[in-house]
Amino acid sequence: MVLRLALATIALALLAACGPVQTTAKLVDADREIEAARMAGAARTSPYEFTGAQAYYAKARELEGRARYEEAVQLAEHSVELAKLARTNAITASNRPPEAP
Amino acid sequence: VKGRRLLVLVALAVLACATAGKVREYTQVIRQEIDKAKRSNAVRCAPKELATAEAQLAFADKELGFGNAGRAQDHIAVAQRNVQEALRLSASCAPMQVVITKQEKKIIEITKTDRDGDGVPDVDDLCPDVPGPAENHGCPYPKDSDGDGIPDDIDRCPLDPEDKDGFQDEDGCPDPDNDGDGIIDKLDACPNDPGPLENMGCPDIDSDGDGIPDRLDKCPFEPGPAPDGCPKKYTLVEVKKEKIEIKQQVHFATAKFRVLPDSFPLLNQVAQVLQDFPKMRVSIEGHTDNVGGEAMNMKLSQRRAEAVRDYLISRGISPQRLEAIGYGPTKPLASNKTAKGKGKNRRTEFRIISNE
Repeated sequence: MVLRLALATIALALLAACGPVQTTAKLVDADREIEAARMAGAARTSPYEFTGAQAYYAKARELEGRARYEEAVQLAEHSVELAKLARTNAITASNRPPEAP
Repeated sequence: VKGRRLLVLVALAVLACATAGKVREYTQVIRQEIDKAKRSNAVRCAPKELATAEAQLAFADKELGFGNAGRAQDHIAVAQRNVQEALRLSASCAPMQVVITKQEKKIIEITKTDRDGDGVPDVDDLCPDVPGPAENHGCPYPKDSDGDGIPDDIDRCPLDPEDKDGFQDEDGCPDPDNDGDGIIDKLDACPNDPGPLENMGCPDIDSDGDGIPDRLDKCPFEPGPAPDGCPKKYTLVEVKKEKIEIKQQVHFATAKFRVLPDSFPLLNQVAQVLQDFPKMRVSIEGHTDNVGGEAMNMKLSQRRAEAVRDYLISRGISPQRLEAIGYGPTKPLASNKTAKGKGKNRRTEFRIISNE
């Protein structure tokens, strides 16, 4: 009986820990992608997407702090998408030949 | 106390509902403004503000979903601030659009003027103010009053047409009598060679050269005096084409130049020939053999020729028709080694210079 109770407690604890872990992983992904976009010059060449990525990342962190893990993950994923798009735009822009004067 | 607490809770719930409804209305307004900003090219002109407004609006929706109207209102406020800024920046930012305007090409039109309207542009028209055909470089062909095909400007007789008979047809003047013999070409058998009317305008021919044209010369091939042109029956002389041939020699005194009387009949006939041929001019030429010095012979032959000349003058022949030349021994006819030859070489000749 005690054993069962212990197993149930461990399982519940693991389930309860799953949300923060997944959220943290997504936030790390988002942070990495944003940093990569920044290194590619996205802040200058793709400010719309880059700013969006930053905003979603910040809100995801906020929601994580409020234990809104599911929504936090959604926003973090969106932040990753925007950051990737911003990075792609930045790379494309850097490969473009300079405009003629 | 319980009733009051319940009332407060109900009031809060009503207030919360009212706030959430108001926030939703705001979100609708903000959404419309964001759309407007996008249409104003805010993606390029105010990308950060637009992205922030959109994100904050999405966050407000989330918060409303959580039932957290207050936090949603915070996001709405940020969203509104940013969308207003985005609209402001977009208003002062020229839309990114490529306006392809049809650029009118400046065409430099070089108009070829044609003042006289003859179809030949002035630049090629030698007479730009006077119409004329292109074949004549835009100049009119000169007038041809007499219609002879020679323009008046080079026609020496612009009112008299050229007769175009092959004689001086370029001057534009008619030539009715090409050879100028007084017989108009239409009646002239030889329009380009002058001749008397009696010979149909053709030149006379004098075959024997006696000065009498063949048509009047009864002896056209034998020189003879007028009027019939037949030779007279001279006994001591014979008129040939080149000379008056004498049938005996003129005799002179030995080593002198005096003509001996026995030669007078001969010279009289020579004078007669000259009278019969009034236009005849002769050269009296004296010759000697080689006996004696050449200088002496030259002098003697000259004196003897002059003696004959004087005699003929004395017979009424004009001196202008007579020349006297002494050749001495320089023109022998035969050998001077024999007496016979020397006799032939001593001679007087009458060479006809002209008979016209």
